[in-house]
Amino acid sequence: MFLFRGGSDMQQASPSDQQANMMKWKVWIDDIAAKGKLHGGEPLSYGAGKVLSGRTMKMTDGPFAEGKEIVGGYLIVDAKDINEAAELGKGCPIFENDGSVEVRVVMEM
Amino acid sequence: MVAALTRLFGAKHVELAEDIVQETLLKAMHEWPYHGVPDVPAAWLHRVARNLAIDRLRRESRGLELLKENAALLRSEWTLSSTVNEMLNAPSIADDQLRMMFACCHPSLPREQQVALALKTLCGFGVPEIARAFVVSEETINKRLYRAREAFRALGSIEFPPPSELAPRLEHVLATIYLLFNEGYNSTSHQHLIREDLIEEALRLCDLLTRNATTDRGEVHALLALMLYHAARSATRIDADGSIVLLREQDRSKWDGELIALADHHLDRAVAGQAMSMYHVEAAIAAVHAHAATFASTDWRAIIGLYDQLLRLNPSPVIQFNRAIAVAQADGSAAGAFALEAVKGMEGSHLYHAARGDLLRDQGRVDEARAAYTLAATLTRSPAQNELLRRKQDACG
Repeated sequence: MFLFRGGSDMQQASPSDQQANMMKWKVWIDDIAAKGKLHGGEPLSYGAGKVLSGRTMKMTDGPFAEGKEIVGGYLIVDAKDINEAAELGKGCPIFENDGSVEVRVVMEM
Repeated sequence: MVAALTRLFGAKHVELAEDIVQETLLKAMHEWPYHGVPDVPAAWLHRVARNLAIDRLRRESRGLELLKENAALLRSEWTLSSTVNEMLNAPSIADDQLRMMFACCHPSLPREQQVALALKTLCGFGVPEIARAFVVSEETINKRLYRAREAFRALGSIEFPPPSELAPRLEHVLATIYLLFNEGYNSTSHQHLIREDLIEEALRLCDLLTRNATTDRGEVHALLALMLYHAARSATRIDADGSIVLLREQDRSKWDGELIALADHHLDRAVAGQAMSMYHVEAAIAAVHAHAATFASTDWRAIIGLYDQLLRLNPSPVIQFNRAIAVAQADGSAAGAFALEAVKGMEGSHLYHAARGDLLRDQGRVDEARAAYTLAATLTRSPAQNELLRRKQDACG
């Protein structure tokens, strides 16, 4: 699983920038799909968010702290190991906006 | 648009594609009267249809059985809107229409279903319009469409045929286009002899084929040239009362010079191609007529020669019949009647008996001519044709 952090908030960008950016994501994800390795995933809104925490389920508003740490979405790919997954992650357009991709293995339980 | 949407959703969901287009048009009918027609109506319609498609995919994509190659892309917000945008952009729409043409004209569908499906999905005709065009009930058209869609679903994805099958599949497409054109040009069953809408659609679809590298072939240009030569004359084929005006009597100054020039251009392109088709020869014949200053000065010898060529490609009674008519013009009615006698297999056609009547009349055999016209009149349902035959009977005295 890829967790995307940081980058820029596309909802603030002009429509044409938004579209150009989405096209880059599409090209990247398309490529993964063409290899038959796309499983699924969704972008997450930078807008309203809530955090429930602790035993009391204390509710606080998000988004949270530094823009760099906000999770902007996730994508699940089929890879034989973490190295192959990381290799697939290298094409992600988020790096152009100084974001990061955290690559994790979905645990088999 | 239906073609592009069907490619997006897959052939199984052709009705969903039609729904979206219909919803788009309804929206236009509701909004345009109040907010005015948008500056670029086509762009407005395109945007609304795209948004409706995205909405439907968002709500229903898990329930829809999508095509394997784009299902994952359409099920994630990461790629949904850009995938839809890409598939609905203008150049890809032109290609989609061509793919759809091949799918609609698939040899597994009977011809009448092919035509109904093409009119519905490619030309945007409604069921009542299609029913009217062929003078059958809406129920009949619905049945045809239903069966066609069933067969269509079985095809799965909508793709260009592989190169090895292109030529025979293209033949089917051209035959359907020509049928569409003929139904418009010489409506067998309609009060109006000429239906401009069908002619325009046939020309548009054929023109689309010439604009794609794969289907830009000699026989396509030949068919387009042939239809353009005919279309150039269509305005002079009927008079103010809707009666037929024969080629001999048509006002040649009113033939559409621009269309003839365009036809010449496509005939040139056709001849530059490799293959020789029926359409080449038929277009050449139409060209001789289009460039003759008067009926009498038509180069009938050239036309007879072309019919001989056509007979070598396709020895059919209709072509023998047309050749006999040309012989009558070149060598007189007696020679024409002799050639016509040799034609077997057209005894059920009103055209055959009408022509026989003309030749008998020209030889002064008026009683036999009148009988031939009467017989011809019993063989056609077209009011305009009947009117013409009645006038000819009266002229026999």
